[in-house]
Amino acid sequence: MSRPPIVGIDLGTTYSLVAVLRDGAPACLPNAIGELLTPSAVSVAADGSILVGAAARARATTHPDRTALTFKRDMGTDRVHALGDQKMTPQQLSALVLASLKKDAEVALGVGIEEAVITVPAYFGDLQRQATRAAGEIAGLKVERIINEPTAAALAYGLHQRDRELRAVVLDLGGGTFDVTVLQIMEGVIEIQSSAGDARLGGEDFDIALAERIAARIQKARGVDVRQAPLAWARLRAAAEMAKKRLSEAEQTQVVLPDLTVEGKVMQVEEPITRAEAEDAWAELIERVRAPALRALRDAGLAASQVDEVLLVGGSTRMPCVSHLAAQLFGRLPLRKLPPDEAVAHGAAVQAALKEGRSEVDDMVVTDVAPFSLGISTGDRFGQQVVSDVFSPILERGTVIPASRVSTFRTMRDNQQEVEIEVFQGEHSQCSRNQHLGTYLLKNLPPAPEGKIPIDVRFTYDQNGILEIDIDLEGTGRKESFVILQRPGMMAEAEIAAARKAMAGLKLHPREALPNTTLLARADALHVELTGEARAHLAGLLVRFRAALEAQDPATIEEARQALAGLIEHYRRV
Amino acid sequence: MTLPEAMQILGLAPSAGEDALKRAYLRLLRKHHPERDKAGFLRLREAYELASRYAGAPRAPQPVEVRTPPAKPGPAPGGDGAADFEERWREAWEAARRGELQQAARSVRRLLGEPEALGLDPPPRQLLELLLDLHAAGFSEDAGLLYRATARWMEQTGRRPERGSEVQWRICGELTHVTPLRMPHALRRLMVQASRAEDPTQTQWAVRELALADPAAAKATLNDLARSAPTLHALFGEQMAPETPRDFWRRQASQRWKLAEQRIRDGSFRLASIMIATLLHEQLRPGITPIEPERVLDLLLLLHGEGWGAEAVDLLDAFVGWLDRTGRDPFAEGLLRRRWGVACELCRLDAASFPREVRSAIARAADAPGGANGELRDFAAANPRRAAVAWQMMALNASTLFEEYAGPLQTDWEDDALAAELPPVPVAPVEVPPAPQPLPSFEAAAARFPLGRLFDRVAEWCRRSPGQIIFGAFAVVLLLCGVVAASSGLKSTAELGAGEICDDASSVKATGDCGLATRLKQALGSADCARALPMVLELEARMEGEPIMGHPRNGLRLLRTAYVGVCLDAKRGENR
Repeated sequence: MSRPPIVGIDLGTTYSLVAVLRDGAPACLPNAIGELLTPSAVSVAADGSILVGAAARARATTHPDRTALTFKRDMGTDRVHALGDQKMTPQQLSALVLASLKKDAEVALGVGIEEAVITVPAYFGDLQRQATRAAGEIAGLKVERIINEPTAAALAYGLHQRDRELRAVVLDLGGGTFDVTVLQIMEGVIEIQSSAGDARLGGEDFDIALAERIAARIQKARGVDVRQAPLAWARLRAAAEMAKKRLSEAEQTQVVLPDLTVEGKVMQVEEPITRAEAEDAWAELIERVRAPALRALRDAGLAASQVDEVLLVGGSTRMPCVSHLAAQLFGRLPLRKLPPDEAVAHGAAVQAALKEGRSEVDDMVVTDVAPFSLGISTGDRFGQQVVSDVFSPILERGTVIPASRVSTFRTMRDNQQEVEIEVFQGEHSQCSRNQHLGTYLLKNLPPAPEGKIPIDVRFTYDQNGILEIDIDLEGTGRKESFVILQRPGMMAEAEIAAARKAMAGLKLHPREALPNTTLLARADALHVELTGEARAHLAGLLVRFRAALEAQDPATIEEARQALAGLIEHYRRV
Repeated sequence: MTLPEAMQILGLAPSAGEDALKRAYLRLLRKHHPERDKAGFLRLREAYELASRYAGAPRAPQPVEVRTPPAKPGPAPGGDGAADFEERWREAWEAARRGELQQAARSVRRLLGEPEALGLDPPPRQLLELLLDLHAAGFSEDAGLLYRATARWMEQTGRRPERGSEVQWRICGELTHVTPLRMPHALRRLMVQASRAEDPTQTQWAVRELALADPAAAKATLNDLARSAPTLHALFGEQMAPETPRDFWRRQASQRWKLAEQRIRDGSFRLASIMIATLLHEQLRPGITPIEPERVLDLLLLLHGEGWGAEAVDLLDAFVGWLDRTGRDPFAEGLLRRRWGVACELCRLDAASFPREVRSAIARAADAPGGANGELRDFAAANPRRAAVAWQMMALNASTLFEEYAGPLQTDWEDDALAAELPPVPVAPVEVPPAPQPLPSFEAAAARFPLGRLFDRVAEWCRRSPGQIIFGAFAVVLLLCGVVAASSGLKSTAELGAGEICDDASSVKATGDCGLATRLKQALGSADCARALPMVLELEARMEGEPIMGHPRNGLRLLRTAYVGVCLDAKRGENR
């Protein structure tokens, strides 16, 4: 194929992946250090160069004030992350991650990449989607499509199940978001029937809950609050994450933090924690999985017993308590048919292939639903009292898209001349609690008594998230239409160009040096954790590696590198 | 868009059901792909949604099963005073009585941790019951948390389990330790049941069943039990152990045997005989399958009694082979010896030519020597020629039976008398094709045979005995019935079904009637009665003497009625 392929990107809260369809099966592409998962982390090194991925992630414990994590949660807001003396918006940070993935894909495929399909959580509003799109543009990618993560997971699943007829529920608990999708496969068509989720529930929250439980213990025992010391808090969170992962396998584990320094006090922390205790700390979080799952079922008009398969994706579903809850909710054993971390990226790759019209997926038809309701602000009158700010949905959530829906409204006063059509997105009955998308002023209405002029408002919404609004003044033959393009939070072309230019000005850490830099950052992070002999051993290897790098002799570098990597891998497993 | 328009877009008849709608919609999605043909898709979707509203709301919200009541915020902590504490304590148990187990468990757990709980005096038994209820309902997490709280409380207050409930406490504690996900819920419930039963061993068989149904889960659970649940392991370890191939084989065989016995009780002797014959053939190692020779003998006689001679021979073959291999001789003496002799001798009489009535009468009277005398005498009087055939065959092949029944079957018959008894040879009045006068009117025929029911019965018969010689002929009858049914307004599945079966008939090479069936089908299809008549007559000739629906004449009557119906229909068409 002469055209460069479209890649699928899972831009996750904690990890991001890039994938393409190869020989009919989706495959994730490795990054500069040969790993499939690239941490969504950005860090600024001492020399001002910018690190993205595993190296940046490792620096989160050693340089928390120069590193940004979980910025996906701030997409669509104007929160600014400070990395040392640099200030970056969530879009810019995401753009850096996307640019690094783009580079990885180009190296792996040997061609230039220009277009991508990017996934977002289903409960990302329009604002956050636009921000994600903008991040792609800044990274130099034409964003062909923004698709919902659960839809992507469903696609990855559906790709292999096309010949069956079944109803399935996909539970996707990732690093930062939780999504539920109900889908039906029939006649080879994958129908997304409903989706629901919680945009602020993920593995990260479980880490924090566990870390807080331990911090509370430390505070009780020694009277210091670890949460107040950024460096110690970052170490505790990292340790809690490791403990969480170990608890998925073992009944009991220990959180060990040597030389934890808080307010000048040095402590040796060694806290045992059992799975039951951890699950007690998570009880509230686990409970939050329940409501979206039930809502997705209700939206699809199904009872739990009508579901044929329950599928778990997302790294956090490895926790036994999550699969246990899923089993309880649906009354059947949940399955893990896809690699939990890669499923979403695989789905994005399938969507990219669909977009390209590749022959492997030619017979595949997918229909998606609108994840949120779209409507306009209206008023109502009860006797003398006028109530405004009423949200009148025109296109309800769960409608199969592309879709076109029309509702008729009327004037509220005699000889009303203008009607302001304010478009909102959301589920709340009051417009002010929903998200404002745009306004259109309909002028010069013909004079008529109140309620005598019917105004048809038609919403047409498609998979690209473009909302077209047609207004038809019945009886007068007047038709007006507008497209919601200029939305708040969406960057104008000029702004994107400026951001792209700014990014070009950034000093990126050279890609070929990344494996070594990552190893160094990991070794530094480990050095903080260890004590005594182990620490001395690591320090020795570290010095040898640094010296080899200085001397620039490839053979020595490789030898020192392997020794150091082996040691780090050893401690990672313990 | 109107409903007819929508149905036209979907390419369906207005009566199409929900499923047909959905499938039509999904198939058309390929043509109007949502990515490539947006306008087409919007139209298709609108048509589908409109049509589904009439076919029954496809997405009508249904009550969602909520397995557990949503957790309500517990009573405000810090509510002072013992009275308040007691009030909350009572409320918690009230909730448990109402069946709100999870909520009760949470409240009790919280209350047990409060200082006032040290002064409490609930019997441990009460707590134990709640714990077991939680396990039985599948709330193992809550049970685990409550168990720990209870254990702490008992330790603090120095309380001990009541005498006699120690084992239950142990089981309860062990259930808490077993990984909930790996243990099937049904198994957990059984174990709770076991702990409550007077004799825990009574639930062992049920555990065995479960373990066999899901060996993987049983194995995982068994590992867990071995590690952390000694009491449960001692109770159920053996039941949950994976079965050996020999066990598996034995279980399979005994299941099939049971199924065959069920078939005998249902009256499906033929199926039962096939199943048992297979079992007997497979039986390589004696003593594994619970073959009961007496039951096989019963079945043999039952088969003869129903006139299934050929099947009886097959079964006997398998049975004799089995007896040989196992070296058994179960029918050495007494009544069994006599029954065995009757069954064997009847098998020596060719199934096709030996009169069924005689076979049936002898088999039914197997227990009493000469018991069939009266019946056979009547038969001989009514069918002298066939009785003569029976007499001759028995004389050659079945000496014991011959000695017993030769008398009653002996008749002196003459050709002339017989000729008068045979059904009249149909005259072929080719010169008066459309409707021969003496034939009954269509209405009269239809009144005599309600066609819908007739069709159903014939169709059932055809399905029950595929591969029979007259199968093709039957298919034709069926087709005729279908045509008649269609012309008389009984537009059921009749027509379709008949066509299908006729096609099947054409594929049955062995019948020899398939060519005729196909030709007749064509003739009737073009309502060419003149061409159809000779074929009908030929079929009549072949079907003579075949007992269809219990009587040799029924088939003929059926065929004629159907034929008349078609002819009348054709005539009506001409008049019009």
